[in-house]
This record gives sequence, structure tokens and C-alpha cells, in this order.
Amino acid sequence: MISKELSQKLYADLIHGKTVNKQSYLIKTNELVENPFYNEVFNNLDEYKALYENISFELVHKHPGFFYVRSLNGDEANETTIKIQALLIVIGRIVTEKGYLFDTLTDYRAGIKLEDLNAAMEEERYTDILHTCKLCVGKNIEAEIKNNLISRELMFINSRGHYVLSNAGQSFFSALKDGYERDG
Amino acid sequence: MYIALDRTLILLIEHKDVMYRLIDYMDLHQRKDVPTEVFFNCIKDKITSVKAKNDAERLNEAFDLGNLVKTGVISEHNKSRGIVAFQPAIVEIFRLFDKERMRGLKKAEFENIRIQLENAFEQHQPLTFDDDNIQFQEQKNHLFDLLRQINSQVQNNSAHLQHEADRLSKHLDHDSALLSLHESKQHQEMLVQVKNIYDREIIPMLEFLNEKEYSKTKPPLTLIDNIGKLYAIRGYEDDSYYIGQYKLSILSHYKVVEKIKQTLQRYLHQEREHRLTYNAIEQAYLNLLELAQKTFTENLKDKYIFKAIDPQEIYYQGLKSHSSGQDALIEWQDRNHVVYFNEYLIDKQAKQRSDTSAPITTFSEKNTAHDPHNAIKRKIKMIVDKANISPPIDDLYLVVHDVLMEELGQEYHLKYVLYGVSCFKQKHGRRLKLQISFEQPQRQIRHNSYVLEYNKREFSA
Repeated sequence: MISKELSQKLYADLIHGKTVNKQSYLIKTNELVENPFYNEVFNNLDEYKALYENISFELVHKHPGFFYVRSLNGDEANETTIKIQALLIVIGRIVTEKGYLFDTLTDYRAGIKLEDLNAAMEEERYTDILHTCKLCVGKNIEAEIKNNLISRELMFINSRGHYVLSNAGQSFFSALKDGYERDG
Repeated sequence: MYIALDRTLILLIEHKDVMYRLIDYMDLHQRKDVPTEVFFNCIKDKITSVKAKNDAERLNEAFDLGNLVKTGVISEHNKSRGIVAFQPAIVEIFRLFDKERMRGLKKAEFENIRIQLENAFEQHQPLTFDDDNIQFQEQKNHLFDLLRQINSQVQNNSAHLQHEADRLSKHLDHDSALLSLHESKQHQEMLVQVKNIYDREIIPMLEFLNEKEYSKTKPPLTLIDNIGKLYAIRGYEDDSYYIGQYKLSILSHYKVVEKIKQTLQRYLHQEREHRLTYNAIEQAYLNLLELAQKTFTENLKDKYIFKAIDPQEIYYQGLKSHSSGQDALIEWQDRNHVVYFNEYLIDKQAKQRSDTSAPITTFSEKNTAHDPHNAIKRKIKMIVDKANISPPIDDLYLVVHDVLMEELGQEYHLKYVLYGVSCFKQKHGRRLKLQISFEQPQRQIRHNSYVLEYNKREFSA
């Protein structure tokens, strides 16, 4: 049975381009907990799918656990998603290039410091990519992460003030890895 | 002064750090000898660290190169190559003292053992098994020495592998690796070590202990079995029994190594996952960089890479942008909330306007007469107009540069040349004939660490 209260909040989030993650982070207690909104959709998946289909949206569920919606008529421009992808790839590259374990980016207790990202932004090779994706033009990396990743819950800031990938953010890298493995 | 071997050895054991340092050097550089210089430095450091004068003297005499050669601790001192090599047995003793310094058996060493067993089997076959046969006695003694040696090597090797697996697990299971860059790097180095140990030591040892897997050649344990059978057929059941016992003793390490293998497989999987993720990120990054670099052309239409990306490669395909989200929300429930929102904004802005006092500006403030750039522009124009620049002019830029530099002095900046040239062209451009020379490299004017590169402009009447 769909919860009226949860479904209204879910609609507001999904329609604004937010993702709904399996786990959500509680900064006060520094822990990951089950996300009631994710469970709500997961437990009533067929009903929610039908509901969104009736208003021309497709409810997308991806591994390892997040939902988002897209238009059924596919009229959404790709610019936003390319920006998100480019930003994630650049962050991933900075982490691995600096010598951190990739898990640093996925573990809610660890995360990557803003200083590390800012330091990397002084290098042209990163800014070249971001500028050609209309990113970091007049805004700094912090603002771009906030606008494109945190607001969509692809990343969150932990109690140490570090950036960490949510389920939706991790999912992108796991798909990237699978694709690389498949293509050999 | 000559110090006997036993005394020298006792001193070496009492001061193990000397040998450990030399062994570490050999392991690090993968060699069986050490440069004489390294040896002398090591001994010198040790002797200077000993405070008691008598002890220092005693060590100085015992660790003297001549004494170590004489006692046989050093088996080779090659002056022309500048190296010293220690007696292998002594190095092995020190390795036994410290498991961390024990060397694991590698594939080549296992193959060497297999060849020795094969040779022993071939040597035994034509022999007459008789206690009076000296050749048989020699081969038998050699065989048992060999089996004892193999047993001990395999035992040491499995102890070494167990120690390495424990050491690596202890570090790798620690969560703190994620919290600092230094520990992250250490964690990655250890994962590489796991892979090296797995590939170079564990797999060859398991192959060695496996009776079935040697495809082209006979497995070492089957060779021991065959030698045992040979002894049994020729009436030496007791010896055959002991050979069988050696085989079982060697084989008993299989389970231990298999367990170590399983322990390390977890990290091996982790290492593989890391490697794949790193490679995938690297590939995606390089692809993006390539696309970005392709946009660096003069064509302003290709400033962004959005069109160059294949829609199939977009992971969050169709994810709604914020603006479309807002539109959808505004039109929700058949009400166009934009109208209400705009009215609200108009009302709010009007209120704000009435609440704040408007800034008073006068014409003189808007006048840009005080703008330093306009002032300098006027000055440049005046200088160029007044200057006696008449055709033929070989290089207009250089002439204007010289004129402005002379007139403006400290105030002069290289970029003023461009404005000066433009002023000159505006005034004389119509009546003079201009010719531009395209030379490679372009001409340059340098001033106060600024450089202007340009194509020469000639003016003639």
C-alpha cells in the first residue's frame, strides 16, 4: 500500500532530478541507515511504476540500489547527465591519481577532502575537461559538486566534511568497471 | 689477529643486525653478494655504535674483512669487481632467525629440486642394490640428503608463507587504510605483494606438491614414489618405507599452503577489483580528455563535448534537470503557478524599491574623463599624431614602439603599441600603401618581460 506522505515527498524529489538511494547518511550519528523512501518504492514497485507511467515518466531502478525518473518520450537533454558523469570521472581520477584507495570515495567514514579537489583543479587537464562540459566556468568545484551531485544525492558530505559517493554515485563507477571488464 | 670461526660466528649472532642489514641489501637488490663499500659501511656503523672500547676492538678484529675471509664466513672477496659474498649456509642460518627474512622458494628452485630427483631416479635405475656396492651406497646417501633437504626447504617455505599471509592479513584487514593517504598507499603496495606471493610462491609450491599436474614431466612426488618402489622391488623395504615417510612429510604441507592460498584469494579478488576500477576510471578519463582536446579548434561551435558523447554511454540517461523539474511542478494540478509566482516577485520588487532610497548619480560621475585608460589613449593618439613618422616605414610596430617609449618613459606599456599603430592607420591609412609581411618566426618586440609577436607592416607613399 502506497504511503501518501512518502509518495508526495518522493514525487517532489524525483521530479526535481534527485535520486532515491537505498541507504541515507545521518551526519549527526555518522552512520548509514536504510532509506524509508527507497523501501517505500521498492516494496510497492509495481504501483509506483504504474503511477509514474500514467504521468509519462519511467521509474528507473539500478544496481546496487537507487531510483530515478526519466521522461517516457525521451525529451530530456543529455547535457545535465554528461556534466554529472564528467564531474564523477574527474573526481574518481583525482582520488586514484593521488594514491588513495578508491574505497575512500565510497566509505562513508572516509571521503575525499575539498582541498584535494581544489589542488587538482589547478591542473589544466582537469579544467579542460570540465570547461568543455560547461563546468567550473565562473563557479568553483565546490559549487559544481553541490549543484550537480549533492543536490541530486549522488554524493553527500560526511561528518568530517569530506565528499562521499552515495549508492547512485557508486553505481556509476561499478557500471564503468563492468563495462571495462566486458570490453576487455 | 686471527679470531676463530666459532668466536666470529658467536659475535655475528650476538650482533645480528649487521647480517640482517647485509641480507636486506641483498634481497632489495636481488643479488647474492654485496659491494665491498656497503660491507665496510655496515661494519663501521656497527663498531661506532658500540660504546664500550673493549667490545668495539673485539668486533673490529672479528669483523675485519681478512678475518672473515680466513674463517670462511666470507666465501668470496673479489677485489676487481669490488664485492664480497657470504657463505650461503651462514646467510641461511640468519634467515632462520627471522621469518621475515626467510626467502620463499620460487618456480626455478622447485624445478631445480625436481631435476635433482629425476637425476637421482635415473642414477638408481642401473645400479646393483647391494650394501657392498660403493656406488649404490653413495647414491643412497645422496638421496637421503636430498630428501632431508627438500623436506626442510618445503617446511621453511610453508612457515614463511604462513608468516607472510598473517603479516599481510593483519595490515589489510585494518580499516584505517581509507582514512589517510599514507595508509592508502601502503594498503595498495601490500595488495601488490599479495599478488606477487600468490603468483610466484604459492602457485609453484602447490604445483610442486600436486602429484597429478606436471603434464610434460613427472611430478616430483611421483619421482619420490618411483624411487621408493625401486628400493622395495630390489629388497630394501626399510629404506623404501623411509622414502615414503619423507614423501608424506613433504605432502603434509599441501593443506597448509592450500589454506594460505584461500586466505590470500580474498585480497587477490580485492586487488583485481581495484585494478579494474582504476583502469576503467583511467580509460574514461582519457576518453574525456581526448574529446575535450578535440574542441580546441578555432570553430566556436564545437566549444563543448556534449554532441561528441554517444548517448549509449550516458549512465543516468534521461535524469531530469532541475529546470524541467520545476516546470513540471509548476504546471501540476492544472494550475500555472508561474503566474502567481511572477506576481509575487513584481509585488516584492515594488516593495523593495519603495523601501530603499535610490542612489543619486550626477552626469560628472558618469563621465569617464577620469578613466586612466582613456587618458592614456588620448595621450597615445596625441603622441602618434605629432610624431614625425613619414613613409617609407619599414616596420610600423617598431617605429611606434620607439616613439611611445621615448615619450611615455616609465608610463609606457608594450600593449600601447597596438593602440598607437591603430591611431596611425586611422590617420594615414587611406593615403599610404600598406604591405604585410608574413615571416616565420614572427617578429618580436620585448619590453619589461612582455613580448609582442606580430607580422611586419610596411608603409610606402
